[in-house]
Amino acid sequence: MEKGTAAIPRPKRWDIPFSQEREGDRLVTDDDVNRLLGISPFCDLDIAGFKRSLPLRGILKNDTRFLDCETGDIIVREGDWGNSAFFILSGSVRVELVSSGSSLSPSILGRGESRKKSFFEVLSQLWSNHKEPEFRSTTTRSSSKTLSRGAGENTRIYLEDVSAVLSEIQTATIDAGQWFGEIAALGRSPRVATVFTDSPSEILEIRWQGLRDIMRNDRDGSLKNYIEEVFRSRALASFLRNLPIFRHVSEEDMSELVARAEFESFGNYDSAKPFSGSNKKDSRDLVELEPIVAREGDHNDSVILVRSGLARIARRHYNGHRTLSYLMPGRAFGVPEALQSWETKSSVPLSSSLSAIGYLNVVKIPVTLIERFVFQQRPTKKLLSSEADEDFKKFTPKEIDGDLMDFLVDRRFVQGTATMIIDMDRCTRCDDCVRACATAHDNNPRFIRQGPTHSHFMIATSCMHCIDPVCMIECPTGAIHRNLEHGEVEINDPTCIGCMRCANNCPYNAISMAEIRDANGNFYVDEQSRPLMKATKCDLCLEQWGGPACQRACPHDALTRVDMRDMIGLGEVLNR
Amino acid sequence: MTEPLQDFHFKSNRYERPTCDWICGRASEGAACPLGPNRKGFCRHFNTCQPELIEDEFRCTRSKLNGGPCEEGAFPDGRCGQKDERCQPVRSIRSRRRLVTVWFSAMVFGFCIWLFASSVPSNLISPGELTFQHRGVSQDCSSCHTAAEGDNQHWVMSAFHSNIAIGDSKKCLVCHADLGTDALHAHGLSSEKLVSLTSVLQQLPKRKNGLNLFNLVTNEKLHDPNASWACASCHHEHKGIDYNLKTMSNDQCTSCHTNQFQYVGQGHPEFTDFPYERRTRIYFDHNTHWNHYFTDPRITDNQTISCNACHRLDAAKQTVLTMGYAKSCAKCHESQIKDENFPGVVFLQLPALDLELLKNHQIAIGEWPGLGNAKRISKLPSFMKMLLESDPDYLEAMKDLGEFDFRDIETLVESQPKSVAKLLWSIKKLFHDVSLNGQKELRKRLGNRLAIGFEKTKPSLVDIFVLAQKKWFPNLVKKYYKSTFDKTLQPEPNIVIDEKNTATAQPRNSGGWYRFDSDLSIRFRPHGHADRFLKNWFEQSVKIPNHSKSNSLMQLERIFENPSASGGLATQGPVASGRCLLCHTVDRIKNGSQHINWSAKPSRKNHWGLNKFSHAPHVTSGNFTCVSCHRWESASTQAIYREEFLNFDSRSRRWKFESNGTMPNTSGFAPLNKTKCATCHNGAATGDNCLKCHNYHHRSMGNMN
Amino acid sequence: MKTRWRRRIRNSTLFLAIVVLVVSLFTAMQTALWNTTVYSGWFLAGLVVLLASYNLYKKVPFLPLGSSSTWMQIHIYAGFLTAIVFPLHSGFRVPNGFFELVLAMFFLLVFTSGVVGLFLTRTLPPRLATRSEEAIYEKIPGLIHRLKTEVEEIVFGCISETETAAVPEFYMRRLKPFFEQPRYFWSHLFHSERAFKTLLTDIGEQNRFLNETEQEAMKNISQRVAVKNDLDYQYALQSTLKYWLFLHVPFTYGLSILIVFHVLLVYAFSGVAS
Repeated sequence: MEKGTAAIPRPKRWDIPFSQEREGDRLVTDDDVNRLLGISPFCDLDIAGFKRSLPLRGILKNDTRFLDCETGDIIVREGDWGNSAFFILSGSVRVELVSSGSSLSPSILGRGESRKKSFFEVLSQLWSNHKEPEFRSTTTRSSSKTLSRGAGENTRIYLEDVSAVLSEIQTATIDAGQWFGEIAALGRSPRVATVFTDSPSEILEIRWQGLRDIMRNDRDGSLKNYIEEVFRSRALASFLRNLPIFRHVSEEDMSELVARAEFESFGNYDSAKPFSGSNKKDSRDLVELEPIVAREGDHNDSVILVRSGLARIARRHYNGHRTLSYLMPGRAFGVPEALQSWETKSSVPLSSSLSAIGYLNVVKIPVTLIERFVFQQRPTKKLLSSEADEDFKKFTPKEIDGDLMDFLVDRRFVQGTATMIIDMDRCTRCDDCVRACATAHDNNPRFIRQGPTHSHFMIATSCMHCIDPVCMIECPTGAIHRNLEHGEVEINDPTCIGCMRCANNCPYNAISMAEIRDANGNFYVDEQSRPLMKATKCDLCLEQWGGPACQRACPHDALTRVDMRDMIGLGEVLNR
Repeated sequence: MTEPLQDFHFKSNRYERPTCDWICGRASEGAACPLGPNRKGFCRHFNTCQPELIEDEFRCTRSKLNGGPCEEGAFPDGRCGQKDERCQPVRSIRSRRRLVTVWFSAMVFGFCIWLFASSVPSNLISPGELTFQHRGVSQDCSSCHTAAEGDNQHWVMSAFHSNIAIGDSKKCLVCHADLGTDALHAHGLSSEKLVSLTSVLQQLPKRKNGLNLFNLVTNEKLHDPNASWACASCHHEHKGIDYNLKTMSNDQCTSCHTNQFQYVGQGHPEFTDFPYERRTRIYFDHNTHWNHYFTDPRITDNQTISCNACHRLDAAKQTVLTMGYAKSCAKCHESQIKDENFPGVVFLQLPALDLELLKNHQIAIGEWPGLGNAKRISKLPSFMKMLLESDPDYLEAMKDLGEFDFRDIETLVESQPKSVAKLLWSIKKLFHDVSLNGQKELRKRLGNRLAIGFEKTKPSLVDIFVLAQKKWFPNLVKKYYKSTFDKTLQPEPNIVIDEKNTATAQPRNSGGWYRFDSDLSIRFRPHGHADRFLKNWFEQSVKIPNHSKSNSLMQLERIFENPSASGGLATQGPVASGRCLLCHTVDRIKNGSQHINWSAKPSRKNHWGLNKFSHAPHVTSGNFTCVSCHRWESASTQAIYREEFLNFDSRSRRWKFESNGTMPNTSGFAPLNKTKCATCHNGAATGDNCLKCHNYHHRSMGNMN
Repeated sequence: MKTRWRRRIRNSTLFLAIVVLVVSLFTAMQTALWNTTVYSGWFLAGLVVLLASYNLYKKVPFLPLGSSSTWMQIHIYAGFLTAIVFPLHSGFRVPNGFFELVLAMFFLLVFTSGVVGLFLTRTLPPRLATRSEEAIYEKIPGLIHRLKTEVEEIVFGCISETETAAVPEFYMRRLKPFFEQPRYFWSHLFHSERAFKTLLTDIGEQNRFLNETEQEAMKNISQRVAVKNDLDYQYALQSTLKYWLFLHVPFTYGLSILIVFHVLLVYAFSGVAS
């Protein structure tokens, strides 16, 4: 009975080499490593710089894999969620130059276009919904224009007639010996463009950790400089420009900020495995496990801006930590302290510590710059401090009590932009939400009215459309993708091959694998008479009118979909 | 126990499907199979198959869908090697609820059908007991409901007819016929009457205080005089044995009568002509009687006279009536009516003529009673005219003479003397014929006007005629007749005359006919109050359509005009106390003819029956006497009061009778105003419900068929 | 102030306003000789339709017909409104006709069951939230079954390890019936721990007859007893939350049918047309 309290085994790196994560990839051998070390840029790296625990060979062996592509293979799609960078060994690829939105049709990219149903279609659900669960007509299963090669997780979709595509869309060529996809990899941001091969080519895919460690440990730093340069110029400026505290900073000041900003990554980057194991209520202090970005009581020499990922703001509480709040991308940490110390002309220690939940990408701006470009140029201290307070208030809602905050953050429910919170004090278990959901999805519920509960709040087992959708990592066909205009995570059923990657990746078990059936309710089975599966999950009723059916169907206002980024809203929901 | 019962891993945690009607039978063991039951509720799990014999060996034929052929294979005897693992699916809670709902609804529907299909009327569908008034009448629905006059289909159909209510109300009127033909109109008044009433209402200023909810929902139908109202609008039946069917709130009244008011004291229109919307039919001056006569010991011989000496409540104890002549008036007035000095009413009179003068005019009238000191008359009495009118000569003469006055016989012009002669002869002819033929002559001459019933009078009129003829024209029959009209000699008339009863020249106390030689008249004196013959005669004479200017009232006046011994100017002639017309007023009625009011009893005709007042509860309560309401009008109104009945025309030195009876009249009492009522009827114990003084139905609910 | 209280105050004031309006309008029309029974009747029928249509609304959650909670609010207050309109319609009298009586009874049943249901839906969930972990109603029997099998394993373990039949005997006598199915419905519903506590004491009593291993086993068993008891609690309350509708819904449909016949009858036999 006591095994529940057993320690979570801290994941060891390289348990599974990158090349072994998918079956069918060829294992990276030492020969391959030697070969890589023979070519630029790897040959230029200074091996001595690397720790013994983290040798370059090991990195190349475990954090890379080879993609042997044929003409037209799509490597990354615009909007994809990637955590790896690509280095072209041979051949060349085309990157689509996009102004706004890819001109390649979603179906070619393996995505279904999600559109609202017409009123009649909506109404017709009353009678046209299928009685049998998880019905799929054979036609819908093969209707998609997507073409794919390979099997299982190794499936790769491709363009049939590259030349035709090239004539249609504007592309730029990236030749052998060049990187692409590193920004998305390091920045944990969606891929900005679709990339496909225009000739049979060999591409090295490298995990971002590998890339990161290479950059860290490379004494020479050429690769680091190269990538950082690209990164600063492309990503950082636009990021800083959108931050509220730099609202009033002039152009040249901004360029200096960009130049002098440092960026860092923390925590475990790729899938959420390690903590999904911690779903059982854990007595131990997770803060201790998390990489600390800034420690409470230290003097802070720079303001920390979260670029991507989640950060926990915690304060020491007896022998443990009490979570005060959490930081979303675009939020700043340490502004009030900096302001105070600037005003009082004395060093003010941090009142709380910041730690990475899962992974975290931050940008550090030295306090001196903040003082110069922000504090001094602000009209009055009063206005400034009020602004800062207001900025601070936003992410410390007083009305959410500590335990609840701990619960939400520990379990990373704060990831959600549409977390389903059910107030069990009001829920009469009438299942109206589930039935509404089913009616809106051809008689199939897309969530389970059950899940981890804290006091009287249940976080139902439903997709919460994370800010950082780890489920999208490694989807072989791109069936699971973000809706480009709304940002919801949806699964394009026809292209889903039922590989379970997303379901496994989802830390919240929000994705269920469903055996699909024919009109008589019999499973479709493959040659080994194993039933065919499809990944299914909440799509926030994108096709329906008037938003999520579950929320509208709740007679007692017990069920609400909460966007965790909006703390005020969260506070209201939790204190209704 | 720290380990949670259930984990949420996607592999062990499947979608719950509350929309499905059937749940796998193994769910209760926590081992529901992923396939689940089918829509019919049968387990879909087929692990068994029907092995088939292929080259004398049974082979498993399980389909791919169910996992393909099994390792165990079939038994040698051809049975399937698998043991049947099918479960018994159970209904989901929602589908159970749906089942219950459907069955229950079906039962209710069946119940209704059974209830309504049973022969109408079924007292099961009756909405409740009838009131005790009605339950006695009939327990059969069809006697009040048109819908129940047929089979079930009929009443179901009739649910879609528009005016069931009116139809049913007609059935009410079968018994309540006394409500009249317009019963369904407001107040049961004819639409014409309603129109006239409402037209009056429109002129009235509407007393609406602001936006008033009642005004908001004013029912337009209320103002439609032609609207028919179902009885059921107010009278709700089937509400129990002792339910009061007749309740009606003041608000209900005021919702239509837009001059709304709380109670009598507040806003209720003032009584303009209450209770005297016309003058009394009998001219009786309470004031004078009470304050002069009744206080005069000679009359009252020291006994105090109270109101109920002359007045009494009627049977219904509502209205107060006079006790009539015998009890109330006779004591003082009988003697005056039997006035010995009253010569009686003239019925026939010979014009007194200056025979010399006639000679000068060569008018030969032969025998004519001499001119005594008789007062000359200007015209013949109307009764005499009636007798003469059947004589062509008379008519001719009158045609020629026109309005001829016997007094100016000196001034006759060319043809007139002849006519006068004709006239006089026709008079003599009258006497002659009557004395010859008696009754049947009179009958012949009076024709249809016999109604006055002169025949019953004693002594007979004929006798008077004969005697008068004997006295005034002794030789009329014997000689004169032949020579004058050279007609064949007639036999001597032999009419038997009862000598004893025959009228003498002397007036007598007992009334009746008699000859009055002093002025050559035949008169009739009443036998007392309400003499039948005189009454009839008056009735007759006012009926005479007034083609001539002399209207019948004039004639009546003239009847009484003759000088009387009693009294001076004030009480002379017709207005002498004791004369009929002093008390019995004469009203002009529409067609110009007139009506003599013999009785004081008010006719209820021109009341709309919407008001009611009961004296009894007021006087019997002990708080009130008559005078507490009926107060004298401010002093000395006698003259004013009289004017409404008769006034003296000083020019013609004659009493004129007022013949307009409709003018409001106080009969000497101060008019009653509502403040008197309001002192008690102000919503206190006495109640201020409209129905206290008003009836809704203008005909009081009386006996029903 | 909490949003739910703001809403409650707003709605109930609105409700009171409507009640006042309806009542005064009714009395006014009554005095104006409108046939008020007809209007109140149709109004009442309309309310019933509105109330019943909530059930239909739930069948089309995908149509943009406003949120279910709004409907619920309307449902609740309209329900209370019928309690005002019904006596107005029936003239504050108990109908003395048989059919009318049945109709009234139905209405009364639907109304009261609704009020009771409202009470339940407001009071039971907080109680549910206090006990054990949330379990989906349909899953509870499965979970109980799992506990039962676990307990039986422990019991069999005892048999194999020790020769004495104390635990099995006790299990057969006392625990088996307990684990067979959900128990103690009423005591759970009325928040009584008595039955459960007696069971626990009985288990405690056993210890004196048991050796180490058996006591250990008994300890594990009693843990599961506790868990099962909590499941029973969940089951009892959740069933109550589900089964009150078995009264409310069917009678609503019955009522609607009766109303149709009532209207037919009234139009055929009474002066509604005037």
